[in-house]
Amino acid sequence: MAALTAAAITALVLAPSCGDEQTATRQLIVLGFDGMDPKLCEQMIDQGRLPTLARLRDAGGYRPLGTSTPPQSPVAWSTFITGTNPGGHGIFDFIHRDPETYFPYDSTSRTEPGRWLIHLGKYVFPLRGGKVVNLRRGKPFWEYLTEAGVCAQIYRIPAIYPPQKAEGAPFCCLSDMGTPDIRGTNGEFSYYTSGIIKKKFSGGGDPYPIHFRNDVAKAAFYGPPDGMLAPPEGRKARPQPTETPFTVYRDPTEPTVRIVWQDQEVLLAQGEWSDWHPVEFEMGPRLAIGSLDAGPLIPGSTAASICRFYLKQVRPVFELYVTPFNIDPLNPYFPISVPDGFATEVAQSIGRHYTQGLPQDTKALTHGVLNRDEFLQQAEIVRDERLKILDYALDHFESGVLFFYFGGTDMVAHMLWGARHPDHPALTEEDHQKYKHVVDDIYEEMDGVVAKAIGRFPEATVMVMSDHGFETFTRQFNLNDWLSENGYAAIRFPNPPPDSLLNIVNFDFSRTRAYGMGINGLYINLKGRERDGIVPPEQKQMLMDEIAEKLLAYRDPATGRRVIKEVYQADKVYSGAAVALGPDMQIGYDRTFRGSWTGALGGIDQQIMSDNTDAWCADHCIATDLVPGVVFSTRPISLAEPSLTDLAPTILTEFNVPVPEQMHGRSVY
Amino acid sequence: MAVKIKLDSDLYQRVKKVAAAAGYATPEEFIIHMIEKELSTLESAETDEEITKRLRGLGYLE
Repeated sequence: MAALTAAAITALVLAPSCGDEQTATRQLIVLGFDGMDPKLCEQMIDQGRLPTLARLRDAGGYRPLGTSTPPQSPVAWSTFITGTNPGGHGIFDFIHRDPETYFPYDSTSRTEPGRWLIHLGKYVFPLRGGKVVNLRRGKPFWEYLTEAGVCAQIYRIPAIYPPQKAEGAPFCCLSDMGTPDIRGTNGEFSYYTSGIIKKKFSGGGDPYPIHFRNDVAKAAFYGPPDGMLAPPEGRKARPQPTETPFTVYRDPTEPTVRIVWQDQEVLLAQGEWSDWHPVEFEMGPRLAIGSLDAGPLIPGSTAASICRFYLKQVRPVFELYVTPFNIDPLNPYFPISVPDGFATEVAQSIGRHYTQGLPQDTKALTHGVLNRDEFLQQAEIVRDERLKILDYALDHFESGVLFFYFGGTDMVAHMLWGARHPDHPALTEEDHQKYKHVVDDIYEEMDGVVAKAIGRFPEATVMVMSDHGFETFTRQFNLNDWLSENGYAAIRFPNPPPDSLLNIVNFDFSRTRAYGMGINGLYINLKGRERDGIVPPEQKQMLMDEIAEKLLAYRDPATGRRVIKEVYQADKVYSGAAVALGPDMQIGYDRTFRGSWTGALGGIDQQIMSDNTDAWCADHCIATDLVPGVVFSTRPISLAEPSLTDLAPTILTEFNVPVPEQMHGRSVY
Repeated sequence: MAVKIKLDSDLYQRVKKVAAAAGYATPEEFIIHMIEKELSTLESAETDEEITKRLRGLGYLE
């Protein structure tokens, strides 16, 4: 990493003069609460439970905030960041598809492997480094600010990984959603158990067996794949994971253990969470010439990571949860901040903390490794760390723009918003009673965060915003089963085994006219665009109209309810150079419905409708007008119906920075 | 070394008909082409396993 001393970074952050004289002392604080819902805010304000937000609303500083189409976080945050619709920033869904292969990929970033490989013995040396590329188009609002001499401090903002430098005035940034763990994934926990492992998890973590002999067990932590290790003879090219061995010593009588690895050890009692601990993974040797163009994915000698342990149970079955191996902010292996050393500066001040994006471990709850109480404990750890980072940010803010992001309002709501409503198929009456207050409690905490920011900076303009709202999710609709049943798609493997790769992009494209991919996306298998496209361009519009009409007429056979409220055609809702990259249509589900889990990767469920029994019991990937976000402000908002596209122009206008023509909105004040 | 694979005669008749219509020189050429095409898809799916797992690691997907 670049060698910036802590003092240098502090000087950068605390630069006394930002911009011209007029804007030098102006302060704008934007607090981003992912998924904060206007209905719930208004209800809690009326109940007197959000006193700070109530004051803002009563002074004219509140509006529901129009969200993006579709209302998915990477889409919505990219809209906030660039002030453009998805046609401008090019992010249309969590998942996009490659028209050449039809295969899905992460829409926000792409990992490019090293090139020009030399094989020497068991090692493979890339002579040019691999790198992670941010796929979002458009210029973030803070680049306009810093170019105009306005300081910008951006904490944990989603959808910008890897973070990019900004020219001009002092700028610092920490990334969030999209920031990988040390394995390069969205965050994969490890679950060590002496019990029976029936099957591997579909994603988000891995189970590992561990066996005790005389109360001692040996196992290994699995780290990033070592791109330098050549695959065994005859195997397809797949990087081998690095391993760091560890030993667990179990007390013969008490429910406690000692875990020992490298020069580290931790003592844990059953039901206890550890603090962060470093775990190093030794990578293959580096070829000297590789440093000529070493990108961030070129392995060094050691990949530094950190993890926490949760000792779930000691006997009769041993169960140990280990968090995803996060990039160590004290020694970042991948870039997670701008300047490079900024993450280290923050960690030196507040301690080690989660650096991966979306750190609330929803997958551990989905797979039953953590129960709801344990998940909430883990989410509280994330929240407490985030509050410490907020204190750091407020302590170091003097002028310009400070943006700060909280994701707990979204991730915890996905898992427990459903408990606010009785009769959710994934929750019992007991769950309903026990957890119905959880999301409300988080909103109360966030009200306190707003109060703190206003209290610390009474002269500042403080804005509170969210990217979308929330809705319970009880029934799922598989678009691909519907397309198949209606003769638009031909399925390749009609009876795929559960979680099978055969059910990824499960189409016979020679006979498929339309297919679903992503949470809301529908693509026409267009001749000349898709590899095996069969629909002539002149028939595309007619086909889309026909499909839209039928989808809107579809009713849930279980209740007779409308499932799809809107079908958005790309050329009618998007504008900009990137429109052609996205789906041809976006499905806007009605309340309580969402696209099915398997359908998002081009799979089938062998039924169109089914209950959502997943622990992920609430969502927001539905019709745009059903899940607006919020915007609160310490100043009255004059714009009658503000939308996410208005916020970047609002921020620029506050500092007299001209709003570029590609931004679609206007100031909300 | 070539190996022989048995096909049901009804299936072979269908293959013969389709192969001729599609312009293949022989039914065998058509069968080999189809198998290779299918294998390449399935083999590439194997290398896509990690990508799929990573995408499924998103809470939004299973």
